[in-house]
Amino acid sequence: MTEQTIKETQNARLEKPAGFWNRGLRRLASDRAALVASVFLIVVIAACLIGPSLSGYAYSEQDLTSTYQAPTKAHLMGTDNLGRDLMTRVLRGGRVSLLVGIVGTLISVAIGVVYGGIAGYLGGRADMIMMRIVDVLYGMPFMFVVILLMTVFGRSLLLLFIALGAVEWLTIARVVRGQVLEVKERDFVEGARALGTLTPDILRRHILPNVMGTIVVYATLNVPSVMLREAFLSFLGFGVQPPDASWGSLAADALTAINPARICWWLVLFPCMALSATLLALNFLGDGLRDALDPRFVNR
Amino acid sequence: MFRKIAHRLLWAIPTLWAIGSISFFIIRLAPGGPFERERALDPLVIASLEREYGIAPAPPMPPGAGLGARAANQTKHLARQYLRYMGGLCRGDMGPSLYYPGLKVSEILLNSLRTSFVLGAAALSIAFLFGIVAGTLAAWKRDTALDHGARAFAVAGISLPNFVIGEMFLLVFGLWLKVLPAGGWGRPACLILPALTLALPLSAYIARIYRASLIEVLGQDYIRTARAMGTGWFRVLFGMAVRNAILPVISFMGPAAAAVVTGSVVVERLFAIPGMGTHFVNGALNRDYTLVLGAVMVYGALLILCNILVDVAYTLIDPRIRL
Repeated sequence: MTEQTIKETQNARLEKPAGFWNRGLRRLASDRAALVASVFLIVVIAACLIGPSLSGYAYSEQDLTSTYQAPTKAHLMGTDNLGRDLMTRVLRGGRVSLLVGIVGTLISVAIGVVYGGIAGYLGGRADMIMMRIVDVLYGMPFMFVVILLMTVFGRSLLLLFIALGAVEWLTIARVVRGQVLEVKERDFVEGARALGTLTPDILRRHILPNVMGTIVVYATLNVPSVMLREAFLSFLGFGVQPPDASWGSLAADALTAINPARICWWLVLFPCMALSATLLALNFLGDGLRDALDPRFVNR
Repeated sequence: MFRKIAHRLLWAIPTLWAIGSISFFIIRLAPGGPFERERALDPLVIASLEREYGIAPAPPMPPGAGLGARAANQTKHLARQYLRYMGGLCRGDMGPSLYYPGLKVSEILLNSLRTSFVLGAAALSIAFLFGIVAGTLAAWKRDTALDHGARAFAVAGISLPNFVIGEMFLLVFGLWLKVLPAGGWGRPACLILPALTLALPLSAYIARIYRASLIEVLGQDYIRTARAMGTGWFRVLFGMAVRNAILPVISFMGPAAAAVVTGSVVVERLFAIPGMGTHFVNGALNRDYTLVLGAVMVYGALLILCNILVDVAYTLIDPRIRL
C-alpha cells in the first residue's frame, strides 16, 4: 500500500460523516413541510424569549379593573380572570413548555443512549436482562406514578424535568440498542478491535457516529411527546404552579373561566393554538429529519 | 395457547409488584403526613388515626439508643407496614381512604371504575370504527383529495393533545351551539363529547396504520384474481382484505387502550365525569395516599390486561401466529 492510497483512505474516512450530515441537511431543505416547520419553530422560540419583555405587561401583573376582556388593541389576546395580559402569559408559558420539552428530552436521551448502548454492545445475557427490565417498565402506568411523585414531594420544575426525562428514555434505549447491535457486527468495528483499539474508543469513534443520525431523529420526535406530558400534568394541576404558567396550565385556567353565562373563548383558543401549532411543527420537523437522516433512507 | 396466556399473566406479577412497591415507598418517604390540615389536630387523635390506617411512625426508642439501632428499628417498622399492605393487596384490600371517612379505597374505585369503563369502551369502539372506515376510503381512493384530507386529519389528530380537542368541543358544541351537554353523567348524550374527544386522535392513528396496511394487501395477487373474476369492490375491501390488513391495527389497540386509560383522566376532569380519573386527581390533590396508591395499581393492572387481550385477539385473527 503506497502512502498515496493510505492518505486517500484516511481522507475518505474523514469525509464520510460530513457527507452523511450534508446530504441529510440537503434532503431536509428540499422537504417543504419540514422547512416551514423549522421556520415556524424559530419564530415561536424567538417570540417566547423576547416577547414577554416587549409586551409592556408583566406576566403576573394583575389589573382587577379589566378582567375577562376580549382581545383589544391594548391586550391583543385579551385578559384573564385577574386582568393579566394573556399574550404575555402565553409567551411566558411557551418558555416553560419549550424548556421542559428540551431539558426533558436531553435527560431522556442521555439515559436512553447510555443504557441502550451498553445493552447493545454487551449483548448476550446482560442485554437480555436489561431489555427485560425495559419491557417491565413499559407496562408501568408512568404518568400516574409521576403524579404520585408530584403529590408527595410537592410540585417543582426540577422534579418535573427529572420525572419526565425518566419516563421517556425507554423508546430511545430500545432504538439505540437495536442500532448498536447491528453496527457492532460490521467489519470496521471488527477491524478496529483487531487493531487493539480500546472499547471506549470503539464506542466513541466507530459506533456513536453511526448511531448519531437515529439519536437526532428520535430526540427531535421526543420533544413534542415530553411537551405533551408536561401539558397533561399542568392541565391536571400537577405541573407548574401559579402565578407561573405553561401552555397546559393556561388551558386548565381557561376551563374554570368558561361557563354558559360567559364564554371567554380567547382564554381557551390562544394557549391551545400555541401548543397545538408548536407540537405540529415539531412532529413535521421530526418526520422530515427521519426521512433525511434515517440510515435506512440514506443512499436510496 | 392457554399456557401462553398463563405465562403472560405470570409476567404481570413482577410488574404489578414493582408498581406497588415503588408507590408504597414514595408515599412513605413523603414529608408531612396526610393529616396535616390547616387546623392542627390533637396529636393523640393523629396517632390513633395513623394506627388505624396502618401508617403509624416507628415506635420511639429509648434516648440512649445508637444510630444503628435507631435505623434498624425504622427499617423493621417500615418492612412490617410494607408486608401488611402487600398482604392486603393480594386479598384485593387497599385499605381505608384517608380523606373520605368510612369508605374503603376498593369501594370507591370499583364504583367509579364502571363509569370509566363505559367511557373507555365507547371511545375505543368509535376510534376503531372511524379509523377503519377512514383508512379504507383513503386506501381505496388513493392519492385523491379524499386521501390527502384523511392524511391531514391524521397528522392533526396525532399532534393535538386531547384537552385541546375537548375544550374546543366543549366551547363549540356545549356552550356556543348548545346542542350537546357540556358535562355531567347519566344520560347517553353526556357520553358523546367525551368519547369523541378520546376517540378522534386514536382514529387518526388507526386510519393511518390501516391505510398503509390495506394498500399493501390490495397489491397482492389474490385480490387481483378476485377482482379479475368480477368480485365487487365492497366485498374485496370489507370481506377479503380485512383479515390480512387489520393485524397492525390490532397490535395498535394495546397502546390505544393505554392512551384511553391515561386520557380518560383529562377528559373526566374536562367534562366533570365521576369516573376513576376524577377520583385519582382529587385523591392526589387531597393527599389521600391510599386512594392514589390503589388507583395506580388498578391502572397498572388495566394496562397489562389490555396488552394480553390484544395478544389473544391477534391469535384469533391470524391462525399462523401461535401464542
